[in-house]
Amino acid sequence: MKSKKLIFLLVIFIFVGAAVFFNIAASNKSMNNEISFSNVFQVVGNVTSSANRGIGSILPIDGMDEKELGDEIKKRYRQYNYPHLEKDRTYLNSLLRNAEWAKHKKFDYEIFVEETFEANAYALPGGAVVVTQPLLKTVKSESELMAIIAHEVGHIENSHCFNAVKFEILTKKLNLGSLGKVADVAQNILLRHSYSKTQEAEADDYAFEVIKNSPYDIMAVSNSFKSLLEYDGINRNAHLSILEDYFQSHPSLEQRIEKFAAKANAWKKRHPENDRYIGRENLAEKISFLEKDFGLKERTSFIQETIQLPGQPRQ
Amino acid sequence: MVVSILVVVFFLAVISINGSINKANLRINKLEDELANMKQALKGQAKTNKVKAEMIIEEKKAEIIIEEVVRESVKKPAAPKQPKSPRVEEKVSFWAKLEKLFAGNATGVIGVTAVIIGIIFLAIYAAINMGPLARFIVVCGFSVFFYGLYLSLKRYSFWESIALWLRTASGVVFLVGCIGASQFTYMKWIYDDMQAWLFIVLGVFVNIAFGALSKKELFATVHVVLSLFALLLIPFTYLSFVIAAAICFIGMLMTLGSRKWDVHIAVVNASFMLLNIFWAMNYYTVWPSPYALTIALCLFVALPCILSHYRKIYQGWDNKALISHIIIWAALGINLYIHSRGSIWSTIGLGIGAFATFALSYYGNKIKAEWLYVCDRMVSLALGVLTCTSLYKFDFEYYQMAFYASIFSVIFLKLNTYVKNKMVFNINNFVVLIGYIVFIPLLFLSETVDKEMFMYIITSYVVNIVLYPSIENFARREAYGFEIDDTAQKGTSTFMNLFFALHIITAAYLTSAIALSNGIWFIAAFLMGLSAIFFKGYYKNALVDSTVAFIAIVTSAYYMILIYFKKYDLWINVELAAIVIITGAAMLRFSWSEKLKRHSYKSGILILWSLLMFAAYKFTIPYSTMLTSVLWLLVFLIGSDIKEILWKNTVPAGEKGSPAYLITMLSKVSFILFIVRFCLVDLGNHTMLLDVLPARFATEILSLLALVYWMVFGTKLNGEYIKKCINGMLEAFLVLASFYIFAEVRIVEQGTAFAILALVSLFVGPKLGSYNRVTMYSFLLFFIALANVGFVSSSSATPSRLIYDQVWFRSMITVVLSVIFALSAYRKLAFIEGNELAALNKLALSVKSLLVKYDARVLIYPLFLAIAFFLYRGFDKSILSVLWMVECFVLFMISIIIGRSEYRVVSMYGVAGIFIRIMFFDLRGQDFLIKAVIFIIIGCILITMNAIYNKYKYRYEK
Repeated sequence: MKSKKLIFLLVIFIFVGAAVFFNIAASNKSMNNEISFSNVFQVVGNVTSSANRGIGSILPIDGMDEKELGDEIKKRYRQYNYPHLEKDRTYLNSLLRNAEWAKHKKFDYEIFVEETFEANAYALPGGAVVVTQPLLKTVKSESELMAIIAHEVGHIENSHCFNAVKFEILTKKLNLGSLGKVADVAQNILLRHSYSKTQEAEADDYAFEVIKNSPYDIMAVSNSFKSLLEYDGINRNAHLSILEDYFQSHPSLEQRIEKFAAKANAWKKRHPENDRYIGRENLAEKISFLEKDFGLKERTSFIQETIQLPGQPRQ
Repeated sequence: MVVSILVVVFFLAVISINGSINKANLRINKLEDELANMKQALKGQAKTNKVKAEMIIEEKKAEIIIEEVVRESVKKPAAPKQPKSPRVEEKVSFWAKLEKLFAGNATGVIGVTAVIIGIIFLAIYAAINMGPLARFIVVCGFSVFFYGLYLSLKRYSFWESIALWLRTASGVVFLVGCIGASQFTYMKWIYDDMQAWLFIVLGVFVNIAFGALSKKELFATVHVVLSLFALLLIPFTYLSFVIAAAICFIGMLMTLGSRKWDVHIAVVNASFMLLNIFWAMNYYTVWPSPYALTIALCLFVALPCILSHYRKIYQGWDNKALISHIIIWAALGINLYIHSRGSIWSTIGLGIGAFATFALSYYGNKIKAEWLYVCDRMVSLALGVLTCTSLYKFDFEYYQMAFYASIFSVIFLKLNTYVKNKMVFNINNFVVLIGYIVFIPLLFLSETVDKEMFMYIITSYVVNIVLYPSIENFARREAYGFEIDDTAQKGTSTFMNLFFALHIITAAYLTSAIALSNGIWFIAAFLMGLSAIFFKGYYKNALVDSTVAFIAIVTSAYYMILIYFKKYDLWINVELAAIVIITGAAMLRFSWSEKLKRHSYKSGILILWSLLMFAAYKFTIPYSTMLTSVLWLLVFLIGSDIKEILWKNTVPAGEKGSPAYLITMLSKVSFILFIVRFCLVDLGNHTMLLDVLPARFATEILSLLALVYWMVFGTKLNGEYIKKCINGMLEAFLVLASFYIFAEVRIVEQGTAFAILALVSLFVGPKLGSYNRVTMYSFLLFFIALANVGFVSSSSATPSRLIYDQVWFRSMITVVLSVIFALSAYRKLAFIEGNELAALNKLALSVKSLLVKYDARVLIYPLFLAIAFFLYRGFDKSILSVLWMVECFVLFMISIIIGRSEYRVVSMYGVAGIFIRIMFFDLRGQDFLIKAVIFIIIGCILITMNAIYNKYKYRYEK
């Protein structure tokens, strides 16, 4: 028994040593040393988010139903395709192809540009992504824009939008009127906040994976949050009470910046030879780097051809 | 012929045995002669040779003994035959029989059907590039191929069943080819009608021949039914009908001899009926009437089937044959109705049918087939009643039809008194009563009242007066009819006497309606009443007294109502109960010591501990925010050994407020503080460990190890309170591990993580002594893993083309681990359900009671349900049916391996459901090649299941 105990203690102290060493040796100037309930809510939100997914899985609705709803939504948004927004729209949709290659949903994605005062982007069920015009001025490069688009696609691919309107889709399918909308609204009011951060985290992870498997700068995700933070001008999540923190739909930007910067740095260290595109000029000119540098408009085997192409990061 | 062969064999055996005996006798005689000669020779020889000679003699004697033994063994009579044990009919439930029928037979049927459909699709797919004749040849080639497989496999007993199915498939494919040669657009190379019919007849003939050659009921049925349905692929003509009738007739012929193929004959007739219904729905308006030919064909099919039951092998009571007989009659009735709608000659036909069936039923009684007699007698009664009701075609009033039906049934009842059969009598009696219940009110409800009505009621009354006494006497003598038990009389009665009162009241009513026109009707009514009193007194039936009084009261009330025209609207309000909401709450029970003992060293402990914790925080922050958590964990860890030192060196050692107890509590507080800090601060720290994992991963592992250390090494002390504190660390460990999984692991991998945790808990649990309740928790973790793989992870997405990044791949790992868990847990069920589990709390107890109650179902059903959902969400719909079928097959194999028939039943239901899905979903909008592959794979799986079931069904418990 004594020898078992000694072995056990030895193992424990190895872990202790490792934890101490790496915490000291690694970058220890954390941007965020504050107490935040956001992370706990994110983890706990896993449970309600999983339950929400589970309900969506059981209901007799699938991607084709979402597609039908999405087609209606796109049809409505196409009415607002004003000519002066056409260039932005075309540019964004060309970038969309870079995020679409890994889609599992059986519908096409389409981006619409909205004229508002706030920089924002949001996803709608059925493949519609809306980007506001101020957002195009907030981000600093095409890679950052790509990260945001991938984030929104991530929401759709992970069925976040679908689960938010699942009852509406169901009652529409069964011709039961607007009862489903009421159910969705009720569910969103009661439960959405418990897992909205979880869903944002999933979409962030999705965006990071898309960027990782693309030729874009691996820091794009982190940099896009930095740009948004600068745009915002304030530390939004500082000194929030536990209730206020709960009702925030997103994790704090500082945390997201730190998280994806750490991941990106770790990836860079493992792949030191890999050059990536940033795309500042492309954003300014509203022409994607594939079209500008390689004359390619429609892509299918994106990764295989572009990752292997030599080149320096484009500014 | 069989007897002759047996006789010949018997004689041959006798002859051979006789021959053996004779040979032995000859040999003995020869040896005895040699012995005698040798003895003779010995007498003349020298003494020294005598020993040698005696040895030889002994040898000869031994040979003789051996020969005699041989002779005796040949003559030995055969061992007496054991008397045959009386056949004990096992009572098997209806569902068990149905399931056995489905698993043993229907899966093979469905499997072959699926393979055939798949081949058809394959043929269609392949045929796009071929000419029609070539396509026909390809189809025939498939048929030959199947037949070849049958020939090669039929020699092996294991494959016999499959071989027969393959021959079935061969026949059906050939039939489809023959039909397609003239009907299907892409295979049509015959344009002449005569040639087309020849090919169709050839295909049907081959199919039917296979059915007849099989000499098995199931295959005969399949071939006949498939041949009938094949005719639906051709535009219907009279010739189709003739061929269909011929098929059914041949199908009937297959049942003759000593065969009792009741199911076959019922299915054949039902199929012919469906064919007729199909014709009625699609071709009714096309053909002219009357349909003499079709009616004749319907009779041609049904009558031999009906007569085929009139064989001595159907003696006694046979439920299966009864149902089959009823189905034949019903099918015939529906067929004739379809073909004779609107004809006024149906009345005559029904009448003849009633008479003929009545006569036929006597023969059933003669051959002592009681069920046949009952059935046909009832059919005769039904036909007679139908004859009466068909009089509406001749503009008879309802009450007139009811009158004839009632009178008919009374006469019928009288005729049934000549053959003693209680069931027939009672049913007929019931029909009589119903007849009058219908007839008499119709008189009341008739729009006009006239003298003719009065004649009907009098005629009915007279018939009853004439026939009723003999019928009633018969009933009471034989104890037929309804049981009565009143003070006046015990026994049985037909209760027809009740209707005497009704007759009188009706007559009174009619009289009141028409009395003003002619007073003589009053006299008739009065005479009727007088005769009723006579009969009431004669039979002394108190029930009749009370019934009459009751009816009199009701009648008076009726008159009063009529007079005053009162109407009562009866309505009922129904209110539903309110919804009950159940809330629950959990309470944590804190047990703190109420008073800490004021000993100085305890104060010291407190102060030291506080300083340690604060210092750990203060001095690590400049280096890393996560180091504080690590040090707090170390404080928690060392508390385990410190408390032991205090236990040895202080008194009292085991009380609630003792130093050791205090240390335990403070250690727990350290751990709680660690948890709080970790959640609020460290979770947001994304420092990477070796650029691969988050650094907080090490802290997480450390926290779990610290808990394990406490659990394993911390309970050496005997203090009850301390042990209680430590005991709960198991739950803390599991909750913490789950929290870490949710925090660190991606959603697609969470199922795998929980499955691994479940496996570890299951394997390690029984060895953990007082913590072996973790075995119970392993099931909860298993359910979480299943919920994740079935309902959650399938809706996730990963933007990667690499296979190991795909959701389905990660989920497959979870599925594999879950299957391993299920198999391992199944083996440990005895341990779990036993009494070796220690310190069970409510949660663990509830899991245990679930396992005790539902046994392996707790493992198998959730596992397969989760897999079904995972397949549904994770794979393309075009292959879903195949995947689900494979799953059902696996469940089926599990049922055979562990010998539990319940899972076999569930897998069979799954198979049935999937097949319905295939018919209604998979057929739509898919490419022919995919359809073909799906159907062929599913068909092969079903055929394999059928063969395996028939081979291993002995393994199932009774």
